[in-house]
Amino acid sequence: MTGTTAEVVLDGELDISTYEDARARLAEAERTAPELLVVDLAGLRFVDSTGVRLILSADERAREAGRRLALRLGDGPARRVFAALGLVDRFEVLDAP
Amino acid sequence: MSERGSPARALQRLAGELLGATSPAAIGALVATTAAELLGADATVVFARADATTLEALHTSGWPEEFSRPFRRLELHRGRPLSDAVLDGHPIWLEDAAQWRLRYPDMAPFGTAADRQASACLPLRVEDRDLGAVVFSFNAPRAFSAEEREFLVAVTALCAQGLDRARLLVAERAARAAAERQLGRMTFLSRTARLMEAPLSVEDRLQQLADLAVSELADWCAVHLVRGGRVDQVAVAHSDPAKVAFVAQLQERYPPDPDAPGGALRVSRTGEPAYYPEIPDELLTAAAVDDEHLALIRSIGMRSALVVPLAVRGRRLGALTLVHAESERRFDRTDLAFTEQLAASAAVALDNARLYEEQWRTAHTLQAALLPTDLPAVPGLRLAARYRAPTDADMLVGGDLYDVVPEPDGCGVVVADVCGKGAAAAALTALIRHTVRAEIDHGLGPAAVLERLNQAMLRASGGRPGRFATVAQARITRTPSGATVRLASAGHPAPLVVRHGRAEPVCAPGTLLGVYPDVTLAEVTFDLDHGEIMVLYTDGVTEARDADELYGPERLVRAVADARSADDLADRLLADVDAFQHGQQRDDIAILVIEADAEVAP
Repeated sequence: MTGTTAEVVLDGELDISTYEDARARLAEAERTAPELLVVDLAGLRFVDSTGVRLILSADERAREAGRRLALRLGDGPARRVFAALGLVDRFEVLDAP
Repeated sequence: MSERGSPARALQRLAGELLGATSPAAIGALVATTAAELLGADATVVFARADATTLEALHTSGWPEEFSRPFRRLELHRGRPLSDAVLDGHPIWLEDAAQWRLRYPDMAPFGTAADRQASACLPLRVEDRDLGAVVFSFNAPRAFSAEEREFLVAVTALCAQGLDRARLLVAERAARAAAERQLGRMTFLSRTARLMEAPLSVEDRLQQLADLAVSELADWCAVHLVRGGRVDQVAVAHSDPAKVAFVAQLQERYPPDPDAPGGALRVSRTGEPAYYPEIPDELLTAAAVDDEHLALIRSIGMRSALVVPLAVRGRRLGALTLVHAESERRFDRTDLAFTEQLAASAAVALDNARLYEEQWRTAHTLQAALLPTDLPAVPGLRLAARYRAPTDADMLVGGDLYDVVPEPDGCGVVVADVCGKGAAAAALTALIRHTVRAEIDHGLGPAAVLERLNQAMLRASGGRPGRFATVAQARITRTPSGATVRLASAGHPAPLVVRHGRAEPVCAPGTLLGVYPDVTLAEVTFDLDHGEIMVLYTDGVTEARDADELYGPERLVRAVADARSADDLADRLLADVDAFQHGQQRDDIAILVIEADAEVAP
């Protein structure tokens, strides 16, 4: 496999109070236009709908630009939230690194 | 009868042909043809029930125009053969002109006109539905054998069934058209909401709003704003720019009278809408300053108009005027209600632009307007609902929604949570409420309702993934032992069912709405026995916080397990969440509780 990969690790809480910071980090990673952008959510203690919306828009941008976006969900809160919203099947989900 | 063919075969053929006939007139014609072929009926008139006292001819054959014209509409009068047949539900057989004169002396001149002799008057009925009547007339006297009577009764019964089907078809088409129109309008509202959020000046936004209105709602649109002590016209639109220029010149020459009743200037000041389903010429005459002015305003050709206030929380910001002219369309009450809704959301957006620091308060107003003020009474069920806005004034309200739609055998319920906060989230909440109501009225089941809602949300966001929502929708049907629940959930927190002192989640997996064109939704069905309770809620409950943790599903289960009734459950849950978060609520909370009532038998 050739191609560029970028990875953004988000931990702690992903909600309205950390949204701006997380958005800026994703935007920075997107600027290098990696073929694969991995967003690691496995270490999150909490994700709310604002956080989910952030990931959905990143996915939409990746699709439009013909890039891939993949998630690490781990087995904690992030996986529970994405499963409850019926989203696990909509993403490429990677195992823990 | 035999020389004209087999009656059984003729009836079979008629039944087949009636299936293909969808208009009442076509059905009437088929019946006349069959009776003429099989029995040699010389004339047939098929009447439909127009209202409680009137019959209306659907089809006439065999009668010259001068005889049939007076019978296009008939008042029902007891003591006339056709009326007696309709009112009593029995056929009237008149074998010859002598019987006509004997039994119906007043009507005999009409019944035996054009040298007719025998007549059969048969009611058109399906079950207890009274649909009209048929009169078969014959030039020769006729004894009406048992076989012939049976045949005519059978033909008439087939005709009645055909008319009943046609009537249902028309009603269904009308219902579908109304639902489509409602969806179209909701999409329009949400486009307006996005427009009003665009980074434009207030004037540019209002001009775009007016342009959008003339593309969909009216021939003319004007917007007025209150500025200081004055009312200014800030936008006017018509598809033809020459007409806009003409009106501008007209207004320069004849400035509008600020006190004219029902005018935009006055509505801007009073906040009272003005509605003119018809604009009679007298209105123009009264408004005109002189003959030339009258000629000019007549030339605009206004037919119908609406002037609604742009107002928020009692503050009057201006007015929105819609006019139908050359299209010759008329505004009705539905248009008035819709335009008021449009003006209300435009006014909220306008207010936000002007008074950003007050935005959270207007969104509260909008949110409150979207929740039912009182839950409807649904026999056999006890309902309770609570909504709690965030405590922090800096927080914009979210898009939580609950609603109950009564149905003849129970109700439809919905709880939804729109991602994000503020006026845009509230606009999407409005779309959800209206779409769900329309689709439930349409008779769709929960998963189908949510699929249609997903399509409506994608349309509203212009086909791009937009703001998402999680929605739980259930159809609750009364049963002798309580109620049956059909539930579908689009990524919404799992409802709980409380029975025998235990609370358990009901999982109906599904994809959130508003993002993907295809969603996966599983419907689950379960029973609520008398005294058992279901609770639907938004994640403001489970995501409530104290200093270091979330309220979570386990606390929720413990808080509601011992609930004694729907109201008791709602009160306990709110109190428990309040105590946990020490009065500091970050997100909004909606709770809807449904209990199968032990007291009321279905």
